[in-house]
Amino acid sequence: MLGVEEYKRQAKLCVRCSFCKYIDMNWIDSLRFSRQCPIDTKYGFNLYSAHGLLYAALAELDGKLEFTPKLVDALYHCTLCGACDSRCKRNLDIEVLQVIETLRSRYIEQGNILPAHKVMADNIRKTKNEYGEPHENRLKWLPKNFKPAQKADIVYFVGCNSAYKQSELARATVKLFNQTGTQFMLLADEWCSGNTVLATGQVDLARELAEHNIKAIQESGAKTVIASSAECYKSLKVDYPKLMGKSTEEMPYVTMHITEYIDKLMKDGKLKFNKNLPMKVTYHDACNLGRLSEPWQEWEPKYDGPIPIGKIWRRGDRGIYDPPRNILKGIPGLELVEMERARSNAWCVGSCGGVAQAFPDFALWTAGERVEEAKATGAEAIITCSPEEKELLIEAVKVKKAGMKVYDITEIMLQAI
Amino acid sequence: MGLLKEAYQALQSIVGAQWVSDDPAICEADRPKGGHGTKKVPLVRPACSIQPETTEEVQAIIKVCNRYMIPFVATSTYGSDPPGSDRENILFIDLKRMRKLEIDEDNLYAVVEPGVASASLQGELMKRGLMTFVPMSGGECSVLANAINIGEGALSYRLGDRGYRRVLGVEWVTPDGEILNLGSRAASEDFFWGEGPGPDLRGLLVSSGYGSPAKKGVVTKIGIRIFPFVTERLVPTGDAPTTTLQLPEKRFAWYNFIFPTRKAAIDAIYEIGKCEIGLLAMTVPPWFVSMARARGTGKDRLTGAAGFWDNWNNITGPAARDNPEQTTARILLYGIGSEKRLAYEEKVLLDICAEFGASARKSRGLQDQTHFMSSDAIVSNLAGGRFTSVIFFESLDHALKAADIVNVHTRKHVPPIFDDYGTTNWFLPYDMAHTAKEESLRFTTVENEHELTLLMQDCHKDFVKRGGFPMAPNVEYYGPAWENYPEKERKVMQILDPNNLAPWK
Amino acid sequence: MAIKEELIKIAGAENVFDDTNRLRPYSKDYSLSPPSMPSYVVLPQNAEEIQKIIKLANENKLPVTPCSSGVHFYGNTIPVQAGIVLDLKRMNKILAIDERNRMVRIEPGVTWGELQSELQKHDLMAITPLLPHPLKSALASHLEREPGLIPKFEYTDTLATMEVVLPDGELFRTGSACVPGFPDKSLAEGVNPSGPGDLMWNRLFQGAQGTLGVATWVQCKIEYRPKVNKTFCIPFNSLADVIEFTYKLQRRMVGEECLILNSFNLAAMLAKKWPSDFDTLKRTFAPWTLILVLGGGKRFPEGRIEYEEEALKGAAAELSITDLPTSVPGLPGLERQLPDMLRTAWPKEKTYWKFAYKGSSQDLFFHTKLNEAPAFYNTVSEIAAKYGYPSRDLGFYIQPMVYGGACHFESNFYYDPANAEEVNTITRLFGEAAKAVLDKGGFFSRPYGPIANMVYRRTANYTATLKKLKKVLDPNNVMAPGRLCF
Repeated sequence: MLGVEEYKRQAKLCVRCSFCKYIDMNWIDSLRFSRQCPIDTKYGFNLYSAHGLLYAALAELDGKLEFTPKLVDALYHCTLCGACDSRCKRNLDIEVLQVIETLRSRYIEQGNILPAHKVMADNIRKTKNEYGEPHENRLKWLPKNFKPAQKADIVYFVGCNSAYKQSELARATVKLFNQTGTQFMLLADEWCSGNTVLATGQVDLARELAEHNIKAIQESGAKTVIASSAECYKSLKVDYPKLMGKSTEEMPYVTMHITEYIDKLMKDGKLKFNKNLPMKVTYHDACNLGRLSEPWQEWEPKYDGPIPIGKIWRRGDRGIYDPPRNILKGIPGLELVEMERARSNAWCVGSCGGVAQAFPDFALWTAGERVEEAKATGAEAIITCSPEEKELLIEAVKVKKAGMKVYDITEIMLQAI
Repeated sequence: MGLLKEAYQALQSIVGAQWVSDDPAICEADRPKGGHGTKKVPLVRPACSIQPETTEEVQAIIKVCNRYMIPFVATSTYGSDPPGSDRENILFIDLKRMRKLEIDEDNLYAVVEPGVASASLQGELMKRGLMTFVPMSGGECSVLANAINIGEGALSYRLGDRGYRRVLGVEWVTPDGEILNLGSRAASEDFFWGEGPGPDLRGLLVSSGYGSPAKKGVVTKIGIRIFPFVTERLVPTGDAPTTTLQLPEKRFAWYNFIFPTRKAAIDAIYEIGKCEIGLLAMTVPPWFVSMARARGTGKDRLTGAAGFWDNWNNITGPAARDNPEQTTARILLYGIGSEKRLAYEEKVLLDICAEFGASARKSRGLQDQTHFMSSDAIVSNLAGGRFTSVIFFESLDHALKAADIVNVHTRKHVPPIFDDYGTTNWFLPYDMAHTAKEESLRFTTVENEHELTLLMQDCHKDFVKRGGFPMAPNVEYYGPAWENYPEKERKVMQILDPNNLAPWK
Repeated sequence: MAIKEELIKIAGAENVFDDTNRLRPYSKDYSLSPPSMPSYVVLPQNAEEIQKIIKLANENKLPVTPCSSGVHFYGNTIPVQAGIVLDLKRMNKILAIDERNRMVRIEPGVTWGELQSELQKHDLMAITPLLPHPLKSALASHLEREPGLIPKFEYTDTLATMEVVLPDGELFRTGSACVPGFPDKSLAEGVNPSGPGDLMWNRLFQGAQGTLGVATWVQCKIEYRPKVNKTFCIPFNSLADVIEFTYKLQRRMVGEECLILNSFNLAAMLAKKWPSDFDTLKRTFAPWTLILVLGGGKRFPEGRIEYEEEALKGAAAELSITDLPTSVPGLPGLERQLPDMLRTAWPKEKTYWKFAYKGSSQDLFFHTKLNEAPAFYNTVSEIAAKYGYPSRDLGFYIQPMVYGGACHFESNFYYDPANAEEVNTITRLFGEAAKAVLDKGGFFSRPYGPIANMVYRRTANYTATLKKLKKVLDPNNVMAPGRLCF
């Protein structure tokens, strides 16, 4: 989290231009799908936007504002999707997301926590997963005839949702490894990656989880960690070095998403999709795989006047956008159509930031917005890279009566391989 | 102090409890951020914030304000602090929920509510072979708010100098809570015509001062003119922040011209206007080059404030110092209606610029296309401070003279005011060079704010005497000299705001 | 001192009169408005004199009605409550031609003919309305917001700044002309119409028909006058067809002058001999003609005409229009004369084209959307038929785009002003047609005479606000009382 001086400095830079509320403007194609921020779109008051939260952050820091019910409401309805951060950095390099994250951590430090997030945290402390399921069942999803390697360069980080709820996704991933001849390990004692824990401002618990998982990875001897969950991917690649005070490149492992891995295999000529899969699909860029997934750059704030010394910027344009698309375009018969808000403009589905836990109705609403956008493309199916998002989208499709299918990309790959 | 309980209840009844709030955090987010330039504005938190969705709700709200004598301000996308937002105990009316949009493609106008951003309208229009004006302050600006207040940018060269030129019929809730419809809207439901009947009361509404319509109640709908555009799509590419629009080569051409002197550039621009070619024309001060270099990504490339100052200190600044008269002009041509038009206009443009001694270069700059959608003027903050401007809106010749005068005054205050070698003035011809803007940018920090205030005072005193015409003049300097207009204005505006609730003074 | 003596003191004896014979021409005009005699007519020379006259009027609560043109069509200069008529024709100077900023500053007495001929010497022109009367004041046209023939797609207002004597006698300059030292000693050149301050004052004075002050000069935009032109006179059988084609032209932003005339009006304008030429031409012309002038640019003029012609042909091809004649039947060579004809006033030596048929015309004009023009055409035609007005005698002029905005639709009802029965018929026809237009959504931006009453009854809050504004600016109600809604 940001130190006080840097926190204040960043929040003060806001000029309230409202770029944070719109997708990158060169990409705007319609009034309907021009907005970027779910809380701004739904709740309207400026507090429910990046610039409102930055102003509130300053006032809270200066003792002019407490964590009123509305402030907490706005702060925790935010999905931390990072769209505002990316949009702001078109013209002003403000670390918007870091300010909001720090504001959340200040809320927690003052002894506060939302009930739903407390339940989640308590579960994790007890059972190492957010659902409160027995920790010993974490590998129960593994098919009986599957034996992960004892020693391999790659370890597959499964994640809580794939392990306990949508285990077909974990199975799809390992089948893919199998089909591609990939040797992989599983962690003997994988804990929750802590993505939502950190997002809700519970830094200490997040650090505890990170330390454990990093140690487990190191002890496994793996050089590369592959995740098929966008959330876990981002935790391993971005949150863990952040919590450890390091840059991503300084970590003792390399993180890859399954799509990066498969894309690499395709580029190296080691994989080709052969089965015809005639379907019109649209791809949803998960925030954690897209905007939020750029390597973390650890930086000690130092300035020469207005100039930050030695800082390397993360603006969201170097997220994992192309590998999933390369994969989908490489599948025979599959027609990929883009939503208006794609890549770093993607509209958040609402599963991240602790929102789905604390405000499920809002999460469903924001997912519903995405479904309407997907429907407008004429696609039959939405493809995503996040188990949580898949769940939410399925529910939203039902509510919207959109008649669309929702797949995780691993499922699609498996059908086509 | 807060609103009276009865007033708050009345407001809740109008919009529903979820759309009105006096929560300190909600109001804090609506507090002014501090005005332009060096003017110190007391940053007062509104007493209450409200979000209406319809004109009827707006009217009902303002009537409540008149009942309980609550001063109010209104905003749509909050691009700048509404004037009067520094008063105590105000009701902050946020219009962003009002987002209706209708487009009449044949008759070239749209009807918009305040919450429609310029870039959103542009997105809708471009796929119809049409375009709108996107202001320099950014595509996130409300179409409506911008059109009735300033409404200028690089496209003003072609699309009319200020927003008032594009406003048609108006639906306006005046500060006394009445609905005043202007133009054809006065006689029917339609917004297609702006003037009349008889005297054009849009004269009470639209003007050139910063934030002035915010002083006059709440405009809830306007008809706005839209314009023909090329039929080929401008394809967006890239991921933010390095996105752009691909301009079809057969339809568009960007040119940069380097003129030996500022006067030569102005003379050429006058001629370009007279030949009625081009979609966009402007001079580009060296400062802008450094700003452009400051954006972008790349691990090894300096960006942001570092990139800005690196470029200015090492490349652009020294060049400007050594040749302060040299002026770059940038012109965009478009072949609307016919590809041959582009070829014709290029021929004319090159002919003109050769006559005035310019060297030409066809440009494909990354940021060139921002004027259609983003108009990223806000990037000026990237340098790590603000830019305070002295702006004139009159003729190009006035602009040229004003620039020189401002520079002379500036020299007396350097340092601590930054030495730009007299090169940050830039010229934006409006309305095919019938009129123009000149803007002198002064890099502003906490350290030089006071000196900047003194500079502004020097400039104003001088320009009053010389008969200069700045945009957004300070009343204390210009009021008495300019037909004593504040007194006349007060008398006229009183008819719309008898209770003095809108901050038009 | 008696009023007349005061006026003589101000303007000189030769410029003040009150004898009936000299007053009578000011009591009426070519409209159907009933006559009303002024008490005095004064011909001031300058703004200072006007100020004194208006102050005198205020002291004595005397109405003041300004006029500048030597001819009037709409009844707005008839002094309905007597008082003083200010005839501004002595103020007839072209004060300045600013070639660089393309502006011209003119006094009220400058006619269109005088203005255009002077500007032509500098290869410049103002944008004319349709064939204005030779005595028509160019300033008055700008104040009245008459539609120009050139659409100027992105334009709107042609009027920049102005000097006005306010109803209290104070002199006031609008826009950037308000600065001290304007025009000779100021940096400002009077090109910015906005302000001073937060109001656009010049918009309040436009369309006011003299009720809010007296303009002593206006500064307006002028443009390069093309030396090379190519004219097209494209015939159409139906109004819907010409409109469809015009929309395509608008999308391509083609042309300088662009107007639509029916056969009657076109014949009236082009006939040299009456009635023989007129009858022949009217029979020969297509029901509708779109006149389009392509103007060559200042540099490489033929190049501009070439690309505009390509665009024109592209539009025509989309509608399978192959016939793009440059003249009209029976008048070969018209294409060479038409641009100059459209860029100046009607020649003094010829009977004004609107008077040639029967002596007068009553014009019903309003704004609408171009695609609604056919419906209005039908409405007007039906009402005319109801009153026994022959459809063959109806004139129509459509200005498809007025300075980038909607269209100006004009019907002309020609009648003999000496024939009481015709006058009566036209009066009733006109009233009913105006009401029908208003009911159908046609907008009278410039409401004259009886139309003003109809319009202002409908625009309740606008009317109320105008009255409040009038009270502030003209507390003694001296300026043109009885006009508009005042």
